[in-house]
Amino acid sequence: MNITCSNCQAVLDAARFDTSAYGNCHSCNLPLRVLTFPALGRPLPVGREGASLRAPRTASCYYHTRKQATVVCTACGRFLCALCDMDINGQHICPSCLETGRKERRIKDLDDHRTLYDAIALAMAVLPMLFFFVTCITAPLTLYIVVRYWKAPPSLLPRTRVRFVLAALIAMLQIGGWGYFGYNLLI
Amino acid sequence: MARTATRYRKLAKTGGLFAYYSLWQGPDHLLIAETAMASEDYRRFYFHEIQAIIVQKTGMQHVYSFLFGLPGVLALMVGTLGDTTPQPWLIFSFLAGLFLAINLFRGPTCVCHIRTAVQNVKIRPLVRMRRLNKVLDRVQPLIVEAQANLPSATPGLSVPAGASRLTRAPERGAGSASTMPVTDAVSTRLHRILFGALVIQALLAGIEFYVSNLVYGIFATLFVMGVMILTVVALARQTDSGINAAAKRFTWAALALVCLEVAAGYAASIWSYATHPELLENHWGLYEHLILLSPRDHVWLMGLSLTIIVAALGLGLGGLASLRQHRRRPTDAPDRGRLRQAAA
Repeated sequence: MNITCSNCQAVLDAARFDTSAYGNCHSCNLPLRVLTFPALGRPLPVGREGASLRAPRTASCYYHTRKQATVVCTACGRFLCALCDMDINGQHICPSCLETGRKERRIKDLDDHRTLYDAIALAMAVLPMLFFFVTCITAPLTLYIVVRYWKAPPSLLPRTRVRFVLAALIAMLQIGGWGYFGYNLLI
Repeated sequence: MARTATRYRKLAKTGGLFAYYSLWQGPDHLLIAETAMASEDYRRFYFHEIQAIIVQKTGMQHVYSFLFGLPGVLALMVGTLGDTTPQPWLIFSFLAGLFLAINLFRGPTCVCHIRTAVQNVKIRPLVRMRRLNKVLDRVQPLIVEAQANLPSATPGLSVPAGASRLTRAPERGAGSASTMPVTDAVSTRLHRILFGALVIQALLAGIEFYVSNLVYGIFATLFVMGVMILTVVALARQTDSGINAAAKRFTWAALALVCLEVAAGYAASIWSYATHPELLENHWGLYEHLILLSPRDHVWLMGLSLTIIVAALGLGLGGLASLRQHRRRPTDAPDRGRLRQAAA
């Protein structure tokens, strides 16, 4: 439960914790302040073992038929023993659902990456304008991205679809411009 | 496993236009989002798991003040007292002064770490004391509330007996190295070459003020093309690598610089066509004309060259400095002291 200085890894004195003033680390002399919370005194959770089946009519674990079921998977409803029970922020998930949920991003707490297709579309619409002749290729591509990924999972953070709209507008203007240019060329 | 929208409230943000970190407050956790162009990576810290928040004051504000202030003052002196065209110097001086004022307004700098049972993570969006204090005022009561059913932590702390002073932890690498948690080895060679090349590019751009001949121009052009290729390869390599975010940002900024140079070259060629229509049929003549252009020929060229010199030098040196921490100690590594204790 020691707290170390994040600069030099020296163990800090508990007397310096939770003070409003900044004290210097003895080792690296950097001014620092430590705020501690009750979780610091909580021991690390220990892994549990599934209890063996004692009575014949007791529900058994779906994955370990000789172990007693203690909880039901929140996602699929399978009975789980203590060993198979994965506690994800209050939800009891079985290993199979955990794997599937992570892959398919159904468990929000495990979702740690998102691709921002709206940013891609906007960049593809705007940046090629530096070399305007490539916009005849990138403008249709931009429109494709906007249509294809309009319903893709957006950022977890508050974000509107304004980039998609802007990208589509710019791409349509570029296509219109090329159409006008082609029409004039033919005439 | 239902998909429900979580409402987040923004607490802090740092970084540039294309790559930045932001800190958000969720209903029961803090979320750090690392945004790089078109992808976002998230880390969550649940209120009931946060053990401590460690804040260090740093002197980076003074460093930034020096970095912005000195070139600004020098440019102002050259612009007002020198016998050259003053406009580019005054523009440069104004920009440096603007950045200096922003830096002073944002206040002292700091580094903040959040410690949980298994990790000790640097909170990159919190780099200024003023913002940090606001965030702490908001978050601290929530953490205390989430841990209300736990006993106070301080009495249980196992500080060595009689330790009135701080004691140094054992050196890294000493002892049972095989049981130590080791982060993946990160290859930063390509990035080092890129940042070194940027510094050289700045020097080459500086030499262009005094040297203007075909051989040197071709060499400088080839060198810039090499830097472009290096930048693209470095960007491709750094995805999913353990390279720290600052170095990644510098690489993205290098791409921006490269794009600026390409755009400037494009604009210069258009301008050359406009002023010398006979070059329309003579591509080699155009290339020769562009190469023999000296920054002293035109005020805009001088401004562009100065921008490239400052940007390339800043990116190169800054990038090399950001890679230094890969030598010293890995960022965001699990709390070594604690894991070592557990292993023991």
